[in-house]
Amino acid sequence: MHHPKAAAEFNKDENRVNWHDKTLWFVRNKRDNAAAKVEDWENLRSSAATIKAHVLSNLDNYLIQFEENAKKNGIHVHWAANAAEHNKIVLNLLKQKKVKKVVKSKSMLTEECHLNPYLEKNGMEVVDTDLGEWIVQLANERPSHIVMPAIHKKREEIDELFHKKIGTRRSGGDEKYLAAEARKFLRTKFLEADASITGVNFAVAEKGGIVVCTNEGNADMGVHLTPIHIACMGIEKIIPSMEHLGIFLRLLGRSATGQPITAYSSHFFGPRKDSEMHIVIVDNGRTEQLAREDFRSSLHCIRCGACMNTCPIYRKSGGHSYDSVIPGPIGAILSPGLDLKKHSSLPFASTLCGSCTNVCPVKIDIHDQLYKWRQIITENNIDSKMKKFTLYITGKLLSHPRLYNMAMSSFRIMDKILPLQKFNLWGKGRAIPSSPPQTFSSWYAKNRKK
Amino acid sequence: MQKTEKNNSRERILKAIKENKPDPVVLQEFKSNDTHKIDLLIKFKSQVEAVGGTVWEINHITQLEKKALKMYHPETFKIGSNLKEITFANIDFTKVETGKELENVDLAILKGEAGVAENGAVWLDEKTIGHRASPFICQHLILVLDKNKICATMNEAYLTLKDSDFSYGVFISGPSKTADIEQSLVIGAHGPKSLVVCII
Repeated sequence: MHHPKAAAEFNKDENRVNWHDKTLWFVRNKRDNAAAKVEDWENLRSSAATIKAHVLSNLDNYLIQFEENAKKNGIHVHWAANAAEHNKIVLNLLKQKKVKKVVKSKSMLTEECHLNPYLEKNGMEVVDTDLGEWIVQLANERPSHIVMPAIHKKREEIDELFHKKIGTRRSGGDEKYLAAEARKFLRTKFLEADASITGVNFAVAEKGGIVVCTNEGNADMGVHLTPIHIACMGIEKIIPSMEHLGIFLRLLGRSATGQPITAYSSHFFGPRKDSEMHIVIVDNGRTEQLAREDFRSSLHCIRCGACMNTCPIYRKSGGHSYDSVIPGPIGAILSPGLDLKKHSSLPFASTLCGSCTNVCPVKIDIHDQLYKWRQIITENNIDSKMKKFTLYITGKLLSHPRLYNMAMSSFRIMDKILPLQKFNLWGKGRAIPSSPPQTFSSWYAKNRKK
Repeated sequence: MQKTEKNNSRERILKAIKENKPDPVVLQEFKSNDTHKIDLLIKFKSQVEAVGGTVWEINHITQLEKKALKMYHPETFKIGSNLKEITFANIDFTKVETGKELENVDLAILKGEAGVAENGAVWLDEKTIGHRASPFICQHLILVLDKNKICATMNEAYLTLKDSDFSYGVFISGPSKTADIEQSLVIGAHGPKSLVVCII
């Protein structure tokens, strides 16, 4: 859906907007406090940006190196050109092991590929074990934030959801009780699962291993208790060496939630002796983004969500308004690359304030890219017809001084007799200033001689 | 047929990258500008507490038993460890075959290899913890750490791990937690509900 339309829906409930806004800003604040404590913060950001840019400039060789080293570690490596191939590969691996029950820890890539419905269609039970992901799974909704998937849900709603779906008692949204019930329920799922699927935060080329960061321990609970682990990663998750983890792990937790590091930073560098480990490397539009010089650096993204937490539009319209797997500012520069028409409203869902660029740990120039996407969308005539027409008329007016003056004079007259406020879209949330007694040009002409 | 398809994707992806990648960007070594002198032990302890953990300080591992038995009772608690000094354990982690065997472990006492002051994290290596599930499946966790093994930052920690050869390792910072319900922090998600870092 068109962002403005979806946002207008969200905005109908002003209290909810305020609550959502406050909640996200609270997380942004935590990030600020954490970053302030690190003397090397800007140094780390610059380093991280350079590392990612360097990786992209040598990505093919790093992927080859990663694959070679992973294989040496006993890890199976698969390549998928797109989402459909990724899903097929994962399904085949599960079928080979006669898997029926899968536990999955958070992976935005698997969201992108719509893996869950595909596996379910093919007879598998897939349980998302990150609490936020599980909540939206139970609610049959999409995540609204890449790090805090259920941030749009109020505690009373979660309380009701759990009561309906897993029979908890009504607790008024007591988070301790609900989390404890989730722990019990999901623990059974971990113990009964035949396979685990995880995402990848970082893939270390020199070691042929991956790192997964969680606070809940759900990635580890899944992987260590199942005979097959499938890790799904985009090609851009590569970093050259172990030492670079030092930089990224200092930036990720602080940028995402204001924590100095997540509770668990798990280094999967080889399978357990009685199990199999597979990595699926996915393109799905990333090589195309790599070709776009203006937007290439969007591939630096480490999926921290800091841009979402700070963005005034995201805070006040909610992740679902973007109708994109990845919402918010970063989503607005990634998604148009995948489907320009569908996501054409996203780069315009911004005031170009630049706050996103300011908080990005890998220094992606997000707001500049938003602006550049706007040029492309406009050139491709995908803009809204109303907007095109209005700007066309405005252009004509501004380039013809007499027409302009006539228009301004008639506006002044109409303002006195018609309720123009009603028809002005721009004036929806703003009071239109009242017209001064005369135009500047007539005042100037009169007073020039003085 | 499937194998050639898979290889084709690999070749297609690598070819596309080769064609589309930008000019080489030079990698530079990270140099810290941080000149603050910190007391590593004090910082580490405060960070462990800040992330929801508890700190114990003892002079010798044999003192751990006394402290642990004040809180955890072997009659009712299943206690597992891979440290031979922990004589009050009733499960030997080095003898575990599957993670599911550890399902009912109440308390795990494991050896940490290194600590990081900036975030209170402790590094565990598969070689010393035995089964990989042991630090996660337990209800409560005690990590034993030599106070001389604490470094300031993650950058320094990875320097010490540079030549380490491991198939699995994990940095653990605090007990498991979640804030997915209206940003209200709950300690104890899927991993252990409490964490003690016992510094020797």
